[in-house]
Amino acid sequence: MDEFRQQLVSLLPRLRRFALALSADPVEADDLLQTACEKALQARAQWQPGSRLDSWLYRILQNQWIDQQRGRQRHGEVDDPELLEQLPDERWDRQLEARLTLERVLEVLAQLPEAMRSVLALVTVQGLSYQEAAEVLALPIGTVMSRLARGRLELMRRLEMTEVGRV
Amino acid sequence: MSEFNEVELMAYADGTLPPERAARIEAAARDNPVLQARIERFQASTRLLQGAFAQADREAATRPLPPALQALLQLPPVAPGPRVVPLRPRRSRPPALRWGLALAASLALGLATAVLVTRTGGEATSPALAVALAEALPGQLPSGEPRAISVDGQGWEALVLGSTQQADGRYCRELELLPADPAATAERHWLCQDGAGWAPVTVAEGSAGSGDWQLASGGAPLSPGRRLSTAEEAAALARGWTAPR
Repeated sequence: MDEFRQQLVSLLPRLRRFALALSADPVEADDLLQTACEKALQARAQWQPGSRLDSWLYRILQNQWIDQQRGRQRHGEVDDPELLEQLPDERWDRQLEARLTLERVLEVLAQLPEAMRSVLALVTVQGLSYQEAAEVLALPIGTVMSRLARGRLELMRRLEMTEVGRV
Repeated sequence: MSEFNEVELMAYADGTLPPERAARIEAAARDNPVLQARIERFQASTRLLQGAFAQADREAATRPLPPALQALLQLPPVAPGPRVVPLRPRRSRPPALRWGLALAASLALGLATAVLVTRTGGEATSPALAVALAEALPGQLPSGEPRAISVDGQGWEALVLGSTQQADGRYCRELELLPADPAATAERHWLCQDGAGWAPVTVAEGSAGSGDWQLASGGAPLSPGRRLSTAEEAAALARGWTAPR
């Protein structure tokens, strides 16, 4: 196995998690991972040895996901600025956290606009810095930070809403 | 309305704000429960997502990659075509017990198999290590949680004994590979972060703690490093072994 392939393999768990954070569905995530790996192998000549392979792969996976979203014309369905600017409820029940399951988080992630999901996935799930995420997404850092802040507040708000609905 | 906007509060919660600005928020939040709650919300979102995706990682580890992807990536790398069969961990233990049990296990195994355990430096010499690397186990397994793997059709158990961190921030992990076949030789490897992945390290025998560590791929010498606590290791695992922010 050559070095590129070996490094790709060692990054698979992280890529798989990133794919899950974007697609919010394990089966879809593995399809996405597969296509992204195919593209990465095809485009491997474009990767510059010495640069970060993980960032390069995140970008490929992210672009692939966006393409799929465009194809399905599913994007933008919750891009309602008014909705996103609602002030969060100040009460936060710490106990809530323990009861939240992965499924619920994925369910809510799936409702968020793709622009927010990408920054949430890169920074809060994958642990990239704001700047690193900005580079992967080719966005100004300020845009990343504002999307991230709104995305995190919106995630929390929706999780609380569903929790209230179920209690 | 507050003098701090959400982006600033988020950066404060993430610990990325310049010290001067952070100190202002800290002072303002001291007697302001509303501001505290706004900050806490960002911290909660991090805990929540990282917790949820740590669970996702555990579930993913029991789910084989799609066969087409395995074929695409030519998994596993060792010829001729042994099967990679990710299995559920046979035992699982509460996190608090992992370290103690892992150390006890390694001690017991060390005594029982002292003659059989060998340290191998490069993956080319070890099909078991090649499978462990192909399944990305060095980055996935919490210490003390054994994982069954299949090497050339034979059962093996992979067990991480502990994690350390080098002065330059990169992590290293000690991996034990135990064959089900008592006639086969157990292996112990140190793996350190090398670029985006994990690479075996050669450790000069009898020089523990003396800094005679070397990545097989070369570069600056390494040392055993500082041992991580269970909590630090869990946090590093959840972050995908990126540097703490």
